[in-house]
Order: sequence, then C-alpha cells, then structure tokens
Amino acid sequence: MSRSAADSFGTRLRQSVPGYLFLLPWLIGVLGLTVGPMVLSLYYSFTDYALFNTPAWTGLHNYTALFHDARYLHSLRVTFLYVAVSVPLEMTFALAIAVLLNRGLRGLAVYRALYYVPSLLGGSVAIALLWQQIFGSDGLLNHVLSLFGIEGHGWISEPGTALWTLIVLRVWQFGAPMVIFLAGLRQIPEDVMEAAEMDGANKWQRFWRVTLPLLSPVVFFNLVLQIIGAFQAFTPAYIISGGKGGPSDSTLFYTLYLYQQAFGNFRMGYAAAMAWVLLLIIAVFTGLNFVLGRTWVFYGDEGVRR
Amino acid sequence: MNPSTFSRRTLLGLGAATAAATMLPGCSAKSGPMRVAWYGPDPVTKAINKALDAWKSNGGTDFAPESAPFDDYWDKLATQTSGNNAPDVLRMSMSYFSDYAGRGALKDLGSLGIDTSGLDPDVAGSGTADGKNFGIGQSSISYAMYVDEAAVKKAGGSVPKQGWTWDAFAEFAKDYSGSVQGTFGSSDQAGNFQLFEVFARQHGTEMFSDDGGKLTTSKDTIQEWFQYWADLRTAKAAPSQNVSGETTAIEKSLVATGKAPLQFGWVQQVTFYQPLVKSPLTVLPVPQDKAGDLKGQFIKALDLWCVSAASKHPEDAAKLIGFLLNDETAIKTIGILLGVPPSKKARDVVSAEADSAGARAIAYVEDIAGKVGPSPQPWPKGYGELLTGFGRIAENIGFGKATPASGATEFVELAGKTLGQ
Repeated sequence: MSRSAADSFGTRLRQSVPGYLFLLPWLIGVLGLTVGPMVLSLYYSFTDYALFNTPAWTGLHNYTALFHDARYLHSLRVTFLYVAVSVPLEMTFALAIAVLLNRGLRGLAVYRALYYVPSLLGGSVAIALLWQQIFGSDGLLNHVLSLFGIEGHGWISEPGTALWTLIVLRVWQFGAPMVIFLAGLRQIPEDVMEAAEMDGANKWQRFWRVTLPLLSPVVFFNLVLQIIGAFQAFTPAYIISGGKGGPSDSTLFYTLYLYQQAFGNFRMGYAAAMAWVLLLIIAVFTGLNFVLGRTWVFYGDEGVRR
Repeated sequence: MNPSTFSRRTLLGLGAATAAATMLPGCSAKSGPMRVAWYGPDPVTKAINKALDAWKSNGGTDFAPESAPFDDYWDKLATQTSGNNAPDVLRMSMSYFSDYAGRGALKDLGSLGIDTSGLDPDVAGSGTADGKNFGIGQSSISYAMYVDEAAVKKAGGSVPKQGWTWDAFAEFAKDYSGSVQGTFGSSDQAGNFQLFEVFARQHGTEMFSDDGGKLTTSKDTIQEWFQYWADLRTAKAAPSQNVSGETTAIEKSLVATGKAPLQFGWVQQVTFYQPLVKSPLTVLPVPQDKAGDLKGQFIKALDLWCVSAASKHPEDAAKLIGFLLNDETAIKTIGILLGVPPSKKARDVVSAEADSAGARAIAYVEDIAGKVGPSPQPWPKGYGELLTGFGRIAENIGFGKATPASGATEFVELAGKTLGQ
C-alpha cells in the first residue's frame, strides 16, 4: 500500500516537473530578485546594518527612532502634500482631456499618442533637466512672464515653489490615466446616454449623473495606481534638487530621504525600516481606498440588484 | 526506453543551464581585468584616461576604467563595496576615507611595495589608520581663494598680498558690490564646511577631537560664522540664498559669469575656473583672524589611491598606483587636476609650464607651506554626513527658516548623533 502511494506521488512529481521547469526562470526571478531581497530588507530593518559591517540585532530601535527624526517627519509631510495635491489634479486633468478626445475628434489616435508621450518621458532624467530650464531664474517661464511685465523668480531655487514645480511635472504626465479613462469612456453604452438625453438631461447632468457613475470603476483603478505611484516618486526630486531634496528640504520626498540615509550615510538598517513603513503607509491608503470605494464605485452588474 | 523520459532529461538539463546562466552574472564578477575607478569633472577624467593609456603603452596589464562625478561616485562605490565587487584601484577622498578604512573595505598596502620615496612625508603618511597604510596620497592641497585682480582694480579696489582679514574682507565685499552694479563682493560661503574648518582653527581649536569622536569647535564659533555670512547677505555683498542655489556649478558660478570677483575652493580647483575667466586668477590665502597669520590653514593630502580589500589583482593595482605617482608622462598629463602633486619631482615637471594656473597653484602652496598650522587628523567617520548637513543648515538660515543661533545648535546636535558611532 505504501508502495503504491509512493508510486503515485512519484508519478505526480514526474508529471509536474516539466511545468515547474517552464516556471523556473520566473521562479528564479521572484525568489532571487523580489522575495529574497524583501526578506533580507525586513531582517536588516531590525539591525544596525551599515553597508560594510556585520548586522547586529537592535530590535525595534530603527522604527522608534523614525519618530524622533525631524527630517523624516518633514519628508512625510512633503510627500503627503505632494500626493494630496498632485493626484487629484492629475486625475481631473486626465479625465477632462479624455472626455474632450472622446467626442469623436478627427485624428484621435494622433492626439492620444501625443498626450501619452509625457507619461513615457516623465520619469526620465532628461525631463527633470528640461524642468530646470523652464522653471529656473533664467528659464522659459520667467521669460514669458517678463513679456507681460511680471517679474518672476527662481521657481525651483525657492523653497516656497520648488515642490509645486514637481506637482506640475506630475500633472503634465497625465497620459497614462487619460488613456485608461478613454478606454473606459468607450465602454459606456450609447443607449444609456441617448435615454438620458431623451429624458432632457443636459450635458453637465449627463456627465455627472451618467458618465461619471458608469466610469467610477475606472476612476477607482486610476486613483489606486496614481496614489501608489505618487508615494513612490523619486526621480524628479532627485534630479531637480541634485539628490539633496533642496532647496531647504522643500522637495525631500520620502524615497529621497530613504536613499540619502542608505547610500549617503550608510544607514541601511534605518533605510530598510523606512522602506517597510512606506509599504505600510501605501497598504493603508490602498486598503482605505477599497473600503471607501464601496460607497462610490458603481459596477454595472450591481444595477441588476438595485 | 520511453522516449518521453529522455525529453524530460533534456528539459532538466536545459533548465539547469538556464538557472546557471541566470545566476552567473550576479555571482562571479571577479574575473576579468583590473578595474580602475575615480571621480571628478570632465578634465580629470580625460587626464586620467590619458595617463592610463601611457600605462598600457609601457607594458602595463589590461584594465577597465570607471569614472563618475563626485556625488554619483560614492553612491556607486558604496553599493559595489557592499556587494563585494569594488574596483581594484580606486580614488578615495579624505571625506570618506575613515568610513571605508574603518569598515575594512580597503587593503593594507604595506607589503605591496609601492614606491613612495619621492613623496612629501606628510602626504605619504596621510593614508594611515590604525597603524596600517590604506592609501597613498595623490596630491597635497590647501584651501584658497582665487581673485580676479583685474576686476577688483577696475572697481577701484586693491588686493592685499596675503589676502584679507575677515573684517577687511567684509568691508571689501560691501565696497565692491556697491561700486559695480549687479555684482556681489563674494559668493555666499556660509554652507562651506571646509572653509569653515579654517575659520574654526583660527578660533583656537581643531574641528574634531583627535579620536574623531567629538566636535570640538564651539557652538558660538559656528553661530559667529553663520552670522558673518548672514550680515554679508543683508548688505547685499553676498547673493541671496536662491541665487546661490542656482550658481553652484562651476560654469554658472558668480566668478565665471563676472558677477563676483572671486571664488573659494581647494587650490587645484583654480584650474577648473581659470578657463572661464578672461584675466588670470590670483591664488591667495583665505581670510584670517589676524592679518598674515595663516595658522588656521593647513596642507594635507585630500585624495588617495586605494586598493579595495576584495581586489583579486592587488599586485597589478599597486604597480599602477606607483606608475601614476612616479611616471613622468602620467605626472604631466594629470598636472594639478587632482591637487598639487605630492612630490618635488612632479611639482617641478608641472611648474615648468610657467604662469599657468597650475604653476600659480603650486607657487601658492610652496609659499604658505612654512606658515600654515599642523594638518588635522584624518576626517572622522560620518564626515560626509556633516559636510552635507552643514550646507543644509546654512541653506535653511539663508531662506530665513532658521537663525544663526538655532542653526548652530542644530549642527552641534547633528554632530553629536553622527560622530563616534
């Protein structure tokens, strides 16, 4: 009996071997490049790891130290402000353009592609450099302003406005959510719109009462993705402030401070703790999104129940 | 035999091969030629590449060069070192030397037989930590200011032979900015930690305790420094903070664009600024507490050639370092781009090109050599963090987010947390 059990186990094993072999490249990637480093980083976050030393266990010290670190708390504030302002702006902009493009414009494909381009370039070093050219003291914006007799200032070099140039940069990359909105708009059945029109709903009413509710799953999807993306923003601040988060720490994003601690000051353990706290923050926000989403996201199949 | 068994085995082999291929690049980067890494702006990279060409044509072993700007270099080196994959020969800055040497990332060069006989003794000894020699000084340097004398004269001023006292300098800066429309007497140096070290020594103490565990400069001295520059900003003798933020790059600096008649920096950096300024830059000591007393200044090795602890080519690495220090072609191509050359022989070779910025820099260092104070201990572990922290605090003061007093307190606290860890 035990022999037959062993046999069948062996057979099953032999049968599944090719499957696992085909999965192997992916498995190696996940274990070696994702799970492994994550587990290691979790371990490091409880140690005093400083890049060249043997890590020694320090318990929760890194986590408690975060709350006494004024620059850390400041980086949290900067990041929250960035997320809270840039995401709604970017979403509104993307939706507005998508609605405009959805009105049967000729050459839609061309416009769609053109508006999408910034999303592809937005995270790149070149664009961050371009931003310096536009918003610097001698930049394009100030030249334009001077034509109207307005005296500009160094938008990037003043702590009061530097973060706002980064917010504008993010809003400018509205292409990715826009394309998704466009696809969503295409899914809205025309008969529903026609019915609304018959009932005498004007354009605004149709948008607020019909389009938006039917689009809400897409809005939700974009919102979740954009919030996660905004929390993780790094490149623009890194390039525009030369890695410092300046002027005067006004663009010190969470990820930038993490990077400074890890690679500038060698505090790998501390940085690992920061990374896990960020993961937690993002998880909370995403979870919150899903809970709140129940109150405003409308899936088509629910209509049947109501 | 069942044919499918065979195919499975083939698959298994294929899978193993794939696995091996995926793992290999990550784990065995050790083979291959010796790697040489350095930091610096474009002229430095060009010069070192030329010197390395000379090494090759003299029958030196194969190598792979890696270069990066200063800031990026340290991010990269830290990552490589932690991955046990650091370059064999590497340029090391005094700002990070203790961080690396103290953590066992550098090889003891004691037994590798690098010829340092021609080197100035204080430079040759500057790579020593815990009785071991972890680096060979590649230059000796001192802090300096470079003055566009023609511009000063045009504005009706004059430049004292041994530079200014701090009080006289403030007067000069105010006069200059007052007499030439749209200019400043000086760039804002409030965040310059290395110039501050001279200022601190003029106030009677070293910046750090001998073991590097404590800040010995007083809070009052730091506050006085921040206040000095705040006053110059208020008087418009130094630019406002947002202008300073946009003029840090050499080609955008105030001296290069004619908006200030002088610039501060390590002596060899005059060769970076000179091509951008029409008239010759005079190299002078930085301002003093008492006129002509240069005890606050010092001459030391700033940068070192090191061999990483993980190097698989230590002998070749040592030979290459010896070549860069002693070969005449190498000396000539590098000139004073890395600092004033650390041997008499090299200085004579470079000075031969009379009235170049390089020759002026060398003359400056030889001139002040007998007058400066003793060189400080190697900068302590955590120095890099203090360097950027000092600049950040000065920036906060410049933007009115802190006062000289609160900034000084903040820096003392930062030093307390960072040093002696």
